[in-house]
Amino acid sequence: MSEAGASLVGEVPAEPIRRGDPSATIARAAAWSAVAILLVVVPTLAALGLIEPSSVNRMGRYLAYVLVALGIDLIWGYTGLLSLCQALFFCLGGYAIGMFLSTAQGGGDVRPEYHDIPQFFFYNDITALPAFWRPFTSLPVAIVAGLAVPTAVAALFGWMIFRSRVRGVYFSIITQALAWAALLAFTNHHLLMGGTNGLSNFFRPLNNDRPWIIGLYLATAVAVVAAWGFCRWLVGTRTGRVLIAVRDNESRLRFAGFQPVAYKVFIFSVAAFLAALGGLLYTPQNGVIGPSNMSIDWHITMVIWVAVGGRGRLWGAIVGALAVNFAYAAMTSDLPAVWPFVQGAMFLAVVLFFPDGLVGVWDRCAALLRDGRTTRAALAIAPLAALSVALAIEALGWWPAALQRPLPVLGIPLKYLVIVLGITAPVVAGWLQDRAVRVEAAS
Amino acid sequence: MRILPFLLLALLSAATTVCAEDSRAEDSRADDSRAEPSQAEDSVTSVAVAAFARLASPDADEREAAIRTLAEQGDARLVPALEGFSKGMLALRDGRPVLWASKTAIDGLGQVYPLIDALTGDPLRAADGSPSYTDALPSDALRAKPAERKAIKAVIAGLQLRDPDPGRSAILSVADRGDVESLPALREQLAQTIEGPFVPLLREAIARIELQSTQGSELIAAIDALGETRAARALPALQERRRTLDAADPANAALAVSLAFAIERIESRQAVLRSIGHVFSGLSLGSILVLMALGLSIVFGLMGVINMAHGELMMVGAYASWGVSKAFAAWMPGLFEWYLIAAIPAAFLAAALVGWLIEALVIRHLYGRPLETLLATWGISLVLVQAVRAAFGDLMSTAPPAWLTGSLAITEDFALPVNRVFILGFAAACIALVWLVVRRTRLGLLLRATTQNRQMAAALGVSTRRIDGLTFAFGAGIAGLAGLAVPLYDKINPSMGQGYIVESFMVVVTGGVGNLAGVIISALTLGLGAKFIEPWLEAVFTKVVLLGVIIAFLQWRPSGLFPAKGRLADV
Repeated sequence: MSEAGASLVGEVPAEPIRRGDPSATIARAAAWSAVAILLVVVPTLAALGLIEPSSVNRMGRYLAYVLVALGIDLIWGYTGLLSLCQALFFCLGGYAIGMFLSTAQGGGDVRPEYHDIPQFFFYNDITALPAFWRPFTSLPVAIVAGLAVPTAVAALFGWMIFRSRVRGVYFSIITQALAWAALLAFTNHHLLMGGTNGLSNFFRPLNNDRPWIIGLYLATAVAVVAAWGFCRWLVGTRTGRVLIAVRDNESRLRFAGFQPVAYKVFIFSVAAFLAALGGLLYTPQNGVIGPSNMSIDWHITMVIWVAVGGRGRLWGAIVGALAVNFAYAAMTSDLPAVWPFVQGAMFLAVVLFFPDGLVGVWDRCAALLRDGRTTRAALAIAPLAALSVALAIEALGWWPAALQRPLPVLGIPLKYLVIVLGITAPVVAGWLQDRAVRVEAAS
Repeated sequence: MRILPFLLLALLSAATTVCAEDSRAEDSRADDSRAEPSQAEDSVTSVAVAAFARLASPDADEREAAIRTLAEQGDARLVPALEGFSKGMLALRDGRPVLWASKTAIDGLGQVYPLIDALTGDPLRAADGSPSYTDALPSDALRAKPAERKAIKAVIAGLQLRDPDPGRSAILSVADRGDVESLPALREQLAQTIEGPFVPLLREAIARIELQSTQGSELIAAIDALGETRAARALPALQERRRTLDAADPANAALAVSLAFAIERIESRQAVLRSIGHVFSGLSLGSILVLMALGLSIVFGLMGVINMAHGELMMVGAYASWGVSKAFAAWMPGLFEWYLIAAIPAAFLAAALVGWLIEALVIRHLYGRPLETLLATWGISLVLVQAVRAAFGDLMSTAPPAWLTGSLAITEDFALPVNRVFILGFAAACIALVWLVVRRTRLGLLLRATTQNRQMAAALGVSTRRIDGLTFAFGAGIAGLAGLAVPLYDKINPSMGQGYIVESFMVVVTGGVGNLAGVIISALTLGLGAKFIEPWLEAVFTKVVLLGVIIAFLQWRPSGLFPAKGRLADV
C-alpha cells in the first residue's frame, strides 16, 4: 500500500522553489492577497455594509471548517493516515464552548421557569446545573477544555491504536468506530448534553448582530492564517520530513531507527487540536452544535474537502474546504435534490480522475510556466480562476439577479451554466492547442 | 390438543355449584338455541329479559337488584349483553335487549352497526327477514352508571368462568381478583381434570386465591404450590406477602422460609427464561450482522477493498424484497403469503447486479489503493441512497406474510417471535450457502487461490479479474439477502444501510479479515453481548460499550480473532 500511496499524493517539493520561477511569484502573490482579503478586505466591506451579515457569518463558519481541513491534510495528506473521526474532535471543541454559551453566565437563553439552566435539562427532570457543567460557566475554562480534551482524547486513542501497529484501512475503520460510538453516546439525552438536538439557545447577538458577526469572523480568519503559518512551519521542519516518511515507507523509517508511533500520535493530536479549534470558533457563529455535526457521513465529507483541494499541500486543504462548502451552500439552496448526486460524483471523480485535486491543476500550470509556455499555462489556470471567481461571488453573495434566474430547462439557475462554461471552455481550448502542438511535432 | 381446553372448560362449567343441577341441561339447551334461533325461550332467557327491562328503571335499588339477578343466572351467554350495557351499546326493542355490535362495512351502507339480539347473538331481522343495521348509536341506550360498572365487571368475570370460549383467561382473571367465591368451583374442576395444560393453571389459580385468603399451614401449602408452578404471575403477590410479613415474630418463621423458597424458585425460572430470550434475540441480531459482514469480509479479504457502499447493497436487497411484495399484492394477491420465496432470488440478484456494476465501473480501477476505494465507494453510496430516495421516497414498510407474524409459544410463559425465528433460520441457510460456494465449488476454489496469492493464481491461468468481479457480486448478493430480512421486523428507508456499515466493519476487523468462521463468531458474540448488556444499560450505551470492548480487544489482537497469514497480512 505504501508504494501505491506515494504515487497518489502530490509530491511535496523537496527544495524551496527558486526565486526566479514565475509560478513561485504568482503563488506568493496569491497567498498574500488571500491573507489580505481574509483579514482586511472582507471585514472592511462587511463593516461598510457591502456584504450581508449572513454572508459574513457563512464565511466565518466555512473558515472554521478550513481549520479542520488543515488538520486532515496534516494527518492524511502528509502522514498518510486516513482519520475518519475529525468531526468528533470538532464537536468536542464545539460542545465545550456550546456548554458555556448555553449557561446563564454565557448569555444563554435561560429562564426562571426552567430554573435558570438550559431548557433541555427540563426533559431530564434536572433543576440545577450538573456538576460537570459547572466549570463550563467560565469562558477560559470552556476554551481550555475545548482544546485540551479533544487533543488528549486523540493522544490517548492514537497511542493505543498506533502502539498495536494498526495501520492503513484498519486505522480508518477503527476511527470510524470511535466516531460512531461517540455519535451514539451524544445522541442519548442521558449524557446531559442535549441529546439529538444538541446545544442551542445561545447568546442571541452572536449570529444576529453585525459587530459580533464581524468580530467572530475576524477571530476565525486570524486563527486560519495562524494555523496555516503553523502548519507551513511544521511540515518544513525535520518532524515534517519524518511525517512524510511515515506516509511513504513506514517500515524503512523504523529500520532507520525512528519511532513512528511518537510522530503519529503527535500529528493525530495536532490534527485533533486544529479540529477542536475549528469547532470552538464554529459553534458561536452557527448558533447550534449537535450530534448531526458528527454523523458518519460528515467525517467522510470533511475528508473529501481535502481530496478535492489536493492532499499533501496546505493550500489545497484550504481551497478545497471553501470550494466544497460554498458549492454545497449554493446547490442546496438552488437544487437540493441534485446535491447528493453532485457530492457522490465528486467523490468518484476526485478518486478516479483527479487524485491530486485542484492542487494538481495548479502544478500542471506551474510546470508549463517554468517551460515558458505562457499561453498554455493561462489556459490551464483558467478553469481554476473561473472557479475561484465563482466561489468569491458566492461567498460575498454578489450574484447578479439576472444570473440567478432559473433556466427553462430543469429550473437550473443561469449561473451554473456560466460556471460550467467558464471551466470547460479553457479545458477544451487547452486540449485543442495540445493537439495542434502534437500534430505540428508529428509533421 | 386444541379441543382440550374447551373440554375442560365445559367440565368446569358443568361443575359450578351456583346452578349445580340444571346448568348442564341449560348448556345443552343453550347450544340448541344457538343452532335453532326459533326455539322456545328457556328459563334463563326469560328471567334475563325481565332483568334487562328492570335495568331501564331510574331507581338505583331496582337496577342493583336486576344486576344481582343476572349474576345469579350464572350463564355465560349474558356476557355480551352485560358488556354492551357497561359500554352503552344496549337498548330495549320490543322489550328485548338488543346489542349494537361493533361497526362493520356493509355493501351499499358503508360503516354501520349490525343489530343483534343481546341474548341469543342472532341478527335482528326486519320484516322481510334481512338483517337490520343502523348508522347511529341508540338514543335510549341502557347505560351503566359509573358506580355500577365495577359491579358489572365482577359479574362478567364470574360468568366468564363458565364460558368455554375465553378459556384460560377466565381462570386467570378469577385468580387475579383473588375471588374466594370461585375456589370451590376451581377445586372441583381440578379434581375432575386428570392431566393437560390446565392442571398447572388451575393449581396456580387456587394457590393464588388461597394466598390471599388462608392462614397457617394452608397458607404455607399454597405458597409451596405456587413455588411448584414457578408461575411469574404469582411473584408480585408473594413479594408483597414477604414485604408485609413480620419477620421478627417466631411464629412466622416457617412461613418466611417457604415464601423465600417459592420466590427463589420462581425467580430462578424467570432468570433462565430471560437468558434464553437474550440468547435468542442476540443470535437473531447477530445473524443479520453475519450476513452483512460475510460479504464484506470476502471482498475485503480477496481484494483488500473497503466497500462503504455495502450497506446500500443491503438497502437494494430490502427494496427488491419490498418491490416483490408489492408486485405480489398487485398481481397475485392469492399467493401473497409466499412472496418471500420469490423475493429471495430477487434480492440476491438485484444486489449482485449493482455490486457487479460497482466493481466493473469503479473498484476495478482502484486496486491497491484501499483508502481511495473507501472514498469512492462512499460516493457511490451517496448516489445510491439519493437515487432510491428520488425513485421511491422515504420510509416504506410492507406487511410481512401472516405466517411470519405472531409468536411461537414454547411453554406457557415463554414465546419466540416467529419472524426472528425465520431470520435466524434464513441466516443459517445463507451461511451454509456461502460455505458451500467457498469450499465446494470451482468459483470458491479460484476465489481462495486468488485470495491467498494473486500473482501465483494469475500465473497458473486464473482470470483474477473475472474472479474479482464474480466475488464482488457474490458478496453484494449476500448483503442483498441480509436486506431481505430487514423489512420483516423494521421499516425500510434509503439510508438504512448506514446504520449497519460501521458495525459490520467492526465484525470483520474483530473476526479477522477474510475469515468466515471469525466473522460468524464475532458477529454472534457481538449480538449476544449487546443483548446481555442491554438490561443494565440503554441500547445506545450498549453499543458504545461494545465498540470500546472491540477497540480494547484489537489492542490485544490487532489482526482480529483469526489473523490472516502470509501475503494477505500485509494489506
